[in-house]
Amino acid sequence: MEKAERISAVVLVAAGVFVAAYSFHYLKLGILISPGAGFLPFLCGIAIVILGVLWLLDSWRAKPAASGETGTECAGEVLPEDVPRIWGLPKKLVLGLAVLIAYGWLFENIGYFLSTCLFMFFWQVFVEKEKLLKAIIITALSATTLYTLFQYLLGFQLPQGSWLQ
Amino acid sequence: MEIFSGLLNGFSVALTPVNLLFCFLGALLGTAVGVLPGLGPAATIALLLPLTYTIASPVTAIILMAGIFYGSMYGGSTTSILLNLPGEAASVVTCIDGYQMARKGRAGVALGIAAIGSFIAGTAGVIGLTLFAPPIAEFALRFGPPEKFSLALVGLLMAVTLSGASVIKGLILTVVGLLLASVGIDPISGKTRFSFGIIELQSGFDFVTLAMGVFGLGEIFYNLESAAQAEIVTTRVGQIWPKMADWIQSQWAILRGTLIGFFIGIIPGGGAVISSLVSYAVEKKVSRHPEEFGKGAIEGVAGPESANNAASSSSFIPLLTLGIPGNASIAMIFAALLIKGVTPGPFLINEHPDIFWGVIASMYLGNVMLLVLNLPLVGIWVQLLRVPYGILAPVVILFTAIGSYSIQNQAFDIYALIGFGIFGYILRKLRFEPGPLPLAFVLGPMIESSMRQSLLMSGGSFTIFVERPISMALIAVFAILVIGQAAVTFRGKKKTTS
Repeated sequence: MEKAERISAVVLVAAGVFVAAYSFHYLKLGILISPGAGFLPFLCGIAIVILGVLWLLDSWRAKPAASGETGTECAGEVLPEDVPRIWGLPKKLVLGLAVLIAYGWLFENIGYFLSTCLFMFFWQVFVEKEKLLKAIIITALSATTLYTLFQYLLGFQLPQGSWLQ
Repeated sequence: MEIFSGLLNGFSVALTPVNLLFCFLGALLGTAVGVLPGLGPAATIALLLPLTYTIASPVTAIILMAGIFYGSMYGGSTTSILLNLPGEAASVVTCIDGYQMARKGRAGVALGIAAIGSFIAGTAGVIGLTLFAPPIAEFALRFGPPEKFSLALVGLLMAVTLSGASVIKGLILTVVGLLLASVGIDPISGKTRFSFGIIELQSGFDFVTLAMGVFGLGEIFYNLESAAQAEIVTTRVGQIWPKMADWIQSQWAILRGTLIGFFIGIIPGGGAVISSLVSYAVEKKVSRHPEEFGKGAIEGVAGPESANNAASSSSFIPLLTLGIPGNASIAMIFAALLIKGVTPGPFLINEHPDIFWGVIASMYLGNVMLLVLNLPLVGIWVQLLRVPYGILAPVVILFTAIGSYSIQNQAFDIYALIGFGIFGYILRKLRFEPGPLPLAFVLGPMIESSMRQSLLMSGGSFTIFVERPISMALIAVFAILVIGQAAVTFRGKKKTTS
C-alpha cells in the first residue's frame, strides 16, 4: 500500500510541475488586476506539487503493513492470492476494460444495437464465464430492452453504424 | 406568511400527476439503490443525469433526483439490519445494532423503527428547510464576487476537512477538480487550456461524463475484482410495528438524531455519513445502558437512521440558498439544475419559485411515499439482492456509455468516460474519498470567475477577501474549524503515541 502511494505521489508531483510550467509558459499568468488564462491553473499546479510532497511524506511515515499479512499488493491494496491476474491486475478487470474499449470503438462503426449485443455477449462469456446459452439469452433480453428504452421511450439518437451504411 | 403561501404554491406544483409520478419513481429508485450495495445515490444520480436532457421541466428532473437521494437513506438500513451489509455509506453504523436485533428475532422491529425514525426526521428536516431556507437566501443576496469566492472556497475546504477522510487526499482531489474544470476555452481570454490539439476537448469535460465515470464506472471496476454474490436471504422479518416499550426507548434517540442530522447536514461536507456516526456516539454516551450497544440496542438504530435522513433534507439548504453543493449527490443535483439552465443560489427563490417550493413540497410527499414503500414492502426490497451482479454491472456500464454518448453524440465521450472510470478505480484503490472531485469541478468556473472579478474590483489586491465583513467572517469560520480539526488530530496522535 505504502509503495503504491509513494509512486502515485511522485507521479502527482511530476504532473503538478508540468501543469505549473505549461500554465506559466503557454497560457500566461497575466497581471494581478487582470489574471490571464494560466493564473488559476498555475496556482493549482503549485498546490499539486506541495500536496504531492506532503502525501509522499505522509505515506513514508505511515505504519508499514503488519507482518504475516497474506496477499500481494496490486495498485495499492492487498488482494487475496487466489484472484486470477493479467499483468499483475485482476483478470476480470482487464477483460472487462478490454471489452468496454472495444465497445467504444465499435459503437459508431457498427451501430448501437450490434455493438451492444457483442458487448453483452463477450462480457457474459469472458468476464462472467457464463455458459453460451445463458449468455445468448441475457444478451438478447438486455440489448432489446435497452434499445427500446433509449430509442423509443427516451428518444435518444443512437448511431446506426457507419460501416453498415 | 410568505413561506406558507410559497409552500402552498409548491404543493400545487408537486401534486401535478407528472411530478407525483416522478417523485414516486425517485423514491422507488432511491430505495432500490439504498438496498443494493455497490451502487450509491451519487452514482445513480450521475447515471440518470443524461435523462435530464429529455425531461422537459427542470422541477420534474430535480424532484426525481432529490427522491433518489433521500430515498436511498431509507433503503440503506434494510440490508444493514437483515444482512449486516450496508446498502450505502450512511447506513454502515446501523449494522452494529440492527443486525444484532435481527439475530435476536427482532428484525421487523429494527426495520420498523428505522423507517418510522427516518420518516419523522426526514419530515422534520424538510420543515426546517422550509423555515430556514428563505431567510438564508435573502441574506445571501448581499453577496458580491469576493463573498461568492470565499463562500465557494470555504464550502469546498470544509467539505474536505469534515468528510472524515484524509485531508491531504481530499485537498488533492479538490485541486484536481478545479484543474479539470479549467480544461477548454477560457471564457475571458478565449485561449484554449489543456486541450493539446484535441478538438473535442476545446469545450471542456462534461460534468455528466466525469460523474458517471468516477462514481458509476469506477465503482463497477472496483467491484469487479471482489464481486461476491449476495447470500440468499433467510432472515425472518416478523412483527414490524414497534411495541410501546420500543417507542419509549427510541423516542429521544429519534429526536436527538433529527437535531444532530439537521445541523450537520447544513454544513458542507457534514452530510448523512457523519451525522449517523455522531448520532450513534451520542446515543451510546447518554444511554443508561451503554453496554447494550453492539448487542442490539434499539437506540443504536433509531438515532443514526433519523440523523442520516434529517441530514439528507437539510443538505438542500446550502444548495437552494447559496448555490453551494455540500456533498457529491447534491453536486449532481446542482449539475442537473445547470443543465436545465437554472443557476442555484439566492436568486432561485425569486426567479424560479416553482422549483424552489416545488422541490421542497415534493420532499414532504416523498417522505410519506417512502414510509409506505419501506414498511409493508420490505420483503420485496430484500429480493432485489438476488439480481446477479454479473447482469447488473454490464447493464449499468451500458447506461453510462450511452448516457455520455448522448450528450454530444460523439464517441470521444465514451473514451473520456472510460478514462474517468479508470481514474475512479485508482482513487478507490488508493483509498481516496472521491466526493470533493465533483464538488470542485462544479464550483470551479464560479471560483475562477469570482476571483478574477474580485481582483479587478480591488485593483489586484488579495486583501479584498478579508476587508469585506461577510467574506472575512466566512474565512474566520473556516480558520476556526481548521484549527479545531488540527487540535483534535494532534491530540489523537499524542494519545496514540502515549
